[in-house]
Amino acid sequence: MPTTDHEISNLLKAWSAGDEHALEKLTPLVYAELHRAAHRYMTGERSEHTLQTTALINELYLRLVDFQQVDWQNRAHFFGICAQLMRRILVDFARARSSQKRAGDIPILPLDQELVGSGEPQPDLVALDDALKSLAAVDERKSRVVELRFFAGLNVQETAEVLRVSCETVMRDWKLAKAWLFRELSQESRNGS
Amino acid sequence: MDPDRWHRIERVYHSALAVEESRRSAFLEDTCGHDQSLRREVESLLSADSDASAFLEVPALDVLAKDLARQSDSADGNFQDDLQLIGNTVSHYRVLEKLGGGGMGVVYKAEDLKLGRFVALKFLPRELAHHPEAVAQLRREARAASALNHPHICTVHDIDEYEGHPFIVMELLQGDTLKQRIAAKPLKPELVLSFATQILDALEAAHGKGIIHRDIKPANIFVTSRGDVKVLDFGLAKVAPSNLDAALSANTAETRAFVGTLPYMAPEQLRGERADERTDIHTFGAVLFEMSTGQRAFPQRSSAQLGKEILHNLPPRPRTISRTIPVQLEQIILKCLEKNADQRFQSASELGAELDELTKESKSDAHPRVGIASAIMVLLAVAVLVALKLGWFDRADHAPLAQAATRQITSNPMDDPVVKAAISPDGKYVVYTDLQGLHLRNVDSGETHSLQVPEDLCFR
Repeated sequence: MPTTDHEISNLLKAWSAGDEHALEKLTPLVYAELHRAAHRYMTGERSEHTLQTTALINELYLRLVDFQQVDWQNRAHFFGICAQLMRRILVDFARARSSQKRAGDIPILPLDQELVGSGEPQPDLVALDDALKSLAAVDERKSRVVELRFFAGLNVQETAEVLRVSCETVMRDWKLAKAWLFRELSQESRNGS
Repeated sequence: MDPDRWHRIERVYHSALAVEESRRSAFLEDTCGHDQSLRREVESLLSADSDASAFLEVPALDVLAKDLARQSDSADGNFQDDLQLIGNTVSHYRVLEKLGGGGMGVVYKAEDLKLGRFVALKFLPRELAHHPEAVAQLRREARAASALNHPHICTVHDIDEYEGHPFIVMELLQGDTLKQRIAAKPLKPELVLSFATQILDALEAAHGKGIIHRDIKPANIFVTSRGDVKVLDFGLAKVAPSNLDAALSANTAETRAFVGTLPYMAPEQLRGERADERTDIHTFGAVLFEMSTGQRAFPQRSSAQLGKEILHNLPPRPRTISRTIPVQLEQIILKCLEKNADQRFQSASELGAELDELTKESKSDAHPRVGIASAIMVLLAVAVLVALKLGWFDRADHAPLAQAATRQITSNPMDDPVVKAAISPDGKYVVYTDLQGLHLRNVDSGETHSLQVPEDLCFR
């Protein structure tokens, strides 16, 4: 019987090779982490914990790379795949929720209103995902910077490592990508409402 | 877009950003010349940039988590009734209120209309209701727990389905989780021992049926208002295949990624190795540590750091956190938390025997063990008896004699043992000497006056 780690590692590989079934098995991992984080926000514990989005990926990384001789030969490759995975799972989650919202369960706030209403902008992940695809058509690397920073929670240095560019390049890409996406999403939310 | 065009936009954009805001317009005028569309493009990006400073800076997972939390908060300040069950009858259970919800389950209070009793119903969160892995886990929990009819394991009555949503029917418990009980403060030693013994009892029963819990932590241990402990959440339990459909255990328990909860995990769980009884001993040890000290054995930092700590570093000695923890309890805790499973207690019953011993000792005031730590107690008891015999307490006209009682009023550390002690004729003071000097203590208030030994003098 395969060990747990080999199993995950195989699932990740299968998924990156296009096996959608593997995604189904990996999804609960991310959902469970999501609910844990939500629970921490609810109970006000969040401030005490320094768990970040990267926690999940770090945990996987720690187990797959550090302690097992699995052929995830480098961090960069691993983080890259995890970021894609996180993006896919989280966007699917947001999509499912926004269809619930449309069904009338939960009030939905347009992007602009949220931007004005709270100090922390809450992007619509589904719209962001679409905008990222458009960005990738213009500049592939910038869309990956966003994927790694926003979806996988990597810092500038880690992102630079994955993309094999300098930290400075990552910062410049990040800045322009944010401005570009922000503009794209603002236009969309104006046109949409 | 033409890549050259895009690169040009990018260059102008970054150059403009480097220019002071008041001079940007002039800069763009110069740089773009007649290319008005380039200028418009860069200007709109610059304007977006100034609004986008906080945009995307919170990682996606946190954005969604906050969204979920907000939604839950908004429903009466309580948890959201995800499945809109409250007030409805589900199978033959009338759902009354929501009790709580975590990562893998949402729990409701309900009335069993057939038997007329209150029960708890546990559903999967909506997002996971149709997820084959999650459903299998819920079934596994029901099976594992129902195989265990034990006073310290939350009883599972049934597993059922409502409109395609599977749920578990469990005994309704009243009280708090151990996590709430601890709330960052150490528990009283007698509670620690009582809870620990009950948890171990449950583990021993589970292990006896080949079931490894794998997720023992304060949030999974419930203390009823009567002080009974109930172990919850066998959702991650590993069941020996002979006790369960091979298919069930083959395609779920073993393929799950994180089995356990990181701060309480044993090193072998982190390494993805097989979990056995000794894995539960480790997680139990982490709980025992937390009950005794009010702190986690492995304080949570980032999970990568935490993982390394669990794998390689020893936890702090509990007595460095609280001196009131008995030495034997500290030894038990540390032995549970050994990195190498071979060096831990090998079974819940072996550990249980040690704890029983400790419980007996702490209860039996009648037979204090004569060790260095209790020497002073014996000495004091003798002193009190002698005092009584000599009639120091006995004033002729106050007939009833004071009852002699053993009371520990000092600690007696190994590195600085008490050498001699005496009690004052009125019983109000004890005087003792140790390597530091001579100390006079008021028995009631604990106030101590010390006379230090001069530095160049050594006495023994």
